[in-house]
Amino acid sequence: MKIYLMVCIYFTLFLVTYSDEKINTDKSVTLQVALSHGVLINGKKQKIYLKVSLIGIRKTIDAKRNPINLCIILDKSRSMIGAKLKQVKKSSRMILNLLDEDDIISFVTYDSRVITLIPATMGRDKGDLIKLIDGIKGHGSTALFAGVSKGLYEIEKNASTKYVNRIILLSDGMANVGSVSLKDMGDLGFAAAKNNISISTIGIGKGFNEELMSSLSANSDGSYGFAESPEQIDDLLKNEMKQLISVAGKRLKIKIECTQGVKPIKILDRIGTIRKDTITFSMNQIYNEQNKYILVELEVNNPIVIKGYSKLIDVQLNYILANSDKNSVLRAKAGISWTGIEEVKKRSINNNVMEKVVLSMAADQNRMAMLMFNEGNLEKTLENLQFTCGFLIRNNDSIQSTQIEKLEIITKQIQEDLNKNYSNRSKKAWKAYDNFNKTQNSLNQEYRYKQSASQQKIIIKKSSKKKKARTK
Amino acid sequence: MKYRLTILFIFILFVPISLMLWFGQKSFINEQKLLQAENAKRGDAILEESHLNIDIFLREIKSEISTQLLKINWTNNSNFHENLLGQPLIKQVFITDNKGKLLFPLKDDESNPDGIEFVKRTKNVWLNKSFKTEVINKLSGINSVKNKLSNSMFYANQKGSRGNISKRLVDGFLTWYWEEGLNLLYWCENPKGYIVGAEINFAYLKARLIGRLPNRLIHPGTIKLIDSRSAVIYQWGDYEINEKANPLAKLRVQYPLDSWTLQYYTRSQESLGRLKKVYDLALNTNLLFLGLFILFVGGWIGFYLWRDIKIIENRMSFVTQVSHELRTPLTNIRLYSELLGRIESSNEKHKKYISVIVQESERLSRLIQNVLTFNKDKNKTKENLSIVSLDINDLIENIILQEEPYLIQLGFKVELNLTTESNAFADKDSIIQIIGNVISNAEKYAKEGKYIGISSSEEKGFILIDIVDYGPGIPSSLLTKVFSPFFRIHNNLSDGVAGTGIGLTISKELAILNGGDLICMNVPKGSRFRLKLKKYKEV
Repeated sequence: MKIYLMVCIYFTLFLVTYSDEKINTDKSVTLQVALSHGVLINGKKQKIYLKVSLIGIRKTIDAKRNPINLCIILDKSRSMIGAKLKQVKKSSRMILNLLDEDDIISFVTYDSRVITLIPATMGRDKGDLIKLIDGIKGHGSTALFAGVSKGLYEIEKNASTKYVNRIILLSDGMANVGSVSLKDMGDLGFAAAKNNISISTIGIGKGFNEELMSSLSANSDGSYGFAESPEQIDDLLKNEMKQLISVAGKRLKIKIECTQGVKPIKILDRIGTIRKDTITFSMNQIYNEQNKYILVELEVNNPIVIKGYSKLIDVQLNYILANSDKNSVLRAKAGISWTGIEEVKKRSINNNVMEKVVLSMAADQNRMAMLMFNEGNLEKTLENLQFTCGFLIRNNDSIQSTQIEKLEIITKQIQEDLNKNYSNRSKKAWKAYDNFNKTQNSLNQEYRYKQSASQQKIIIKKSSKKKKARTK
Repeated sequence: MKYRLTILFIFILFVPISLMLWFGQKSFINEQKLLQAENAKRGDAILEESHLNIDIFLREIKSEISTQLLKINWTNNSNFHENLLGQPLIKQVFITDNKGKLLFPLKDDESNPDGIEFVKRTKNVWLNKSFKTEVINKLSGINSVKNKLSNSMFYANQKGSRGNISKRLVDGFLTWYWEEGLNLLYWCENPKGYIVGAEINFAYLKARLIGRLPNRLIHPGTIKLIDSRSAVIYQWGDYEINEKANPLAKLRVQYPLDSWTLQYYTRSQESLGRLKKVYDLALNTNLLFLGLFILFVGGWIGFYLWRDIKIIENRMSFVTQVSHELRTPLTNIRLYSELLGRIESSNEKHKKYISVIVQESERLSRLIQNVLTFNKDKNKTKENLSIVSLDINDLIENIILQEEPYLIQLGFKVELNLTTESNAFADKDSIIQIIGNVISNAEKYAKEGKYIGISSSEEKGFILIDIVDYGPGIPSSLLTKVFSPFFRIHNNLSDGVAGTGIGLTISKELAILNGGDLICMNVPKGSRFRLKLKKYKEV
């Protein structure tokens, strides 16, 4: 009896601490599933958050990397003339030098017209290609949509799962020729994603339309970078290339199936599909050490209980290993146990999950605030941002997350910027954060990969706490 | 004379240049029109060629989507279309029955939130009858030979449940406007008789089309593809389009992209326009110079005319003054010579000489009177007239009595035939002057006839006095001209006939001022001057 009780207690504690069930294969991606609560109250309809984390772990860096199908789309409109164009040319040379013979490169420039400077070609004869790029001269206006279309055409010639398919779009201006609708750009991003193509966008200066650029990259699982000055272009492109070279898994498809009595309510931030009890997501790729996660809000109402434990969800990850076309499948599941005491439920909160939930909610509020700002309502914007700050501070009491602190700082910064009329910079910087929040892709150094580190910190923190609890 | 030559030279220079430029411009415009028409034709052909790309593209899209859609095996399983949603061209999938009624997705199917969204945004399509009627029409139309919609269909080899039957695919596009612009649905009939369709990712379709369109234009010029808001979707070609330029050719894109237009611009239009401007400028400058020149010449001539008139006026006033000065001594000469003629002691020879003096001075005084009358203001003359009842026969007899000796001396035979019984209503001095002038005229120009006949008669309230001579007559073309001032039929001094050329002019004027007229006419033997005077009517 005593032993049984001990087993029970340990089992519960185990669940509280590691409700994540790791199925760690020696493959290149790990899948972790965690719920916001380890314990729920008996017989009540309750809300619970699910977090599915994927981490790229490509240990064998020396191994041959996945070939890249890269297309660079360069805005060479009049405003790019000077330092910007010079820097882009320089960085393009860097990119070409990083490419192997197996890689495919294409280069499209556009102003009011589109020129396919380099049609999709294997990465040989780099000297000739560099000459072509060096010959670019700035001119005309900005036919963004047409430029991206031609880039897509070039990259689609080889857009198979064998490659990491990537478009890098560099622009500094408002699209003023052709389609400029946000919906069009978003739809184009979706379509690209379906073709295994990610579009990374780099906005240069303060004149570009961050909404268009970021929607293109967010919807296609690409990265968005904000280069305030031309010198930053190089860093952003270097980051992008580092990521491209370090791709750990491609074509990730995550399928979350809810068990009976569990209903998906909504997906936080990320784009996915809810169909009955199934939630599906797809990502084009995951980089080494990158931590991508999915947050879903679930409603639990009388699920099947077996020995005090209820399995709530099954997760299945399908992906293609880097540098191969081999399919790999990972599975995980998560569940909760039951209690009658509110305190126990409260104590079972997984701060790691709640941190992301809080971040996501705050980001959502900020997004709303920015919308208001775009509508010209400064007062309300500031009010909303203030509210976000309060929300973050309140929730961080128990979570103690550096990420939340950071978002708080960012939110305050935006407030300050808006007050000082630096809205342009602020909006673009915010988009960089927001995109990172949605897709965990970013080119700007300040966001990149920090998360995994901080998360590890938290895990260490928590586990030490739990250890303390256990020892007690 | 020197000036005239210069003017003539300049005129000869300018007129042909203007004409040349004008004709040049005309022919240039014609040529331009011709060229433009030719270019437009060429432009149309180029656009047709480009449209072929779009046509083929749309066919490919159709076959691509229909192949996917026909794979659908709908058994009420909501996950049947997951694969389709992985297609970049397809945004959503729908199924209707063969009457266009939506079967999937349903607006209240909570397990499919995207589906609910789809139904919401396509609400109009399902409420509107046009989709349903189109579906029904096309489905029924397949059986009829006269299928109007055959253009928008194509053959597909289907391996459906009905076996390997090569069957015509019934399909169609549907456009509607929602939120920010054009949206596109594609539908086709599947072997089980359902309509399967897809909402197309229009932005991606557009991008794919742009990808397919050429990078460069082999023809000189630029082609623009514009949407319903005239925003450029894509343009290709080397020609930089001027914002104000009009397209040389336009072509509407085929359904379902019929709100789009292809436009062709080319350089030739603009350069032609520039050449035309040069032509216009040259012509206008030339015309301006010509106009200035004509203005100058006109002013110049006007100035000379004015100067001549001034000179003539000065001369006339001189003549008038001289005539005035002559009148007083002449009157004295006449008076004293008449007095001399009355002295009894003088012998016949003396009397004859004196009568010559009297006659000549009378002639002279008439001449002076003529000159004075001619130079007088007509209104003044009219004021000085005393128009009264006048026994015209008596007057004529008196005149002839005075003139007769001189006429007889010249060998003239004078005949009077005065038949009028009424009095004329006229000024006496005027009549004397008129008849004197006419007789003097006959003396000068009808010497050979040696005959003067004067008759008076009445006609319709007028009294007519005809003075007939047997002279050479007057050419009929000059009958009115003889009354013009200074006009003489033979302006030849060698004829030996002296005259001022104003006698008849004054006579006619005087006759008119008296309310009558003086006309000249030809008669078989010579000429006849007819003086028409008003008849005096007793009240």
